[in-house]
Amino acid sequence: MSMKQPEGRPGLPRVNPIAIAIAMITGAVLLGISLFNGEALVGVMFLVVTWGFAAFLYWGSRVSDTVALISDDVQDERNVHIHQRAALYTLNILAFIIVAAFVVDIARGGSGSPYTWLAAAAAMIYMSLLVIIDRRG
Amino acid sequence: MNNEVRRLRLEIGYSQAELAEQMRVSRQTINAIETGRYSPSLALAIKLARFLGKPVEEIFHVDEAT
Repeated sequence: MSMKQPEGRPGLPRVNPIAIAIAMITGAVLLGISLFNGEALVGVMFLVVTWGFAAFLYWGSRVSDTVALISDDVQDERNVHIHQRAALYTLNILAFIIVAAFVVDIARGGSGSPYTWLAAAAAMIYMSLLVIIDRRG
Repeated sequence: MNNEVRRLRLEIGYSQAELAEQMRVSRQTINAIETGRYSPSLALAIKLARFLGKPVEEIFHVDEAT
């Protein structure tokens, strides 16, 4: 049985730096696009929101395990499972919404577009990924 | 799946956070394993067993009745 060591190896980082980087780069890109379109105020708002989110992840993850979970979908295996389950539930809810919108649109005498195409695309992507992931084991 | 992680961890005087650091997982993962809310991957189970100095089957018990 292992004896307690005074100094263990460094643990997991509390926040995934890639998530921080993506949020900050997204804000900078949106600011650039907005400035290019002559909408400086909108660009600044994008920057405040995205950089604010990055700051929230960085500082919040130091005091809250839930915030740390938000940015970690690769390091801790349980967090990876949670993200996968959340993604699956999200997909199912979105699929339900698309089908419901399609039915409502048809009932109102519409063509069902664009929900028909969205549902078809989702089904094709889902089945393709099933095959690809199955072949990879 | 029941397990002896908590008992063995306390035997060596580790906190959940310290064991989590050694296993390079979050403290919540260790807590979830100890309380049976999460079954670890085979890799993590073996890593835990090696660290705690017991065979995997002595740490993790599958209820045969279920």
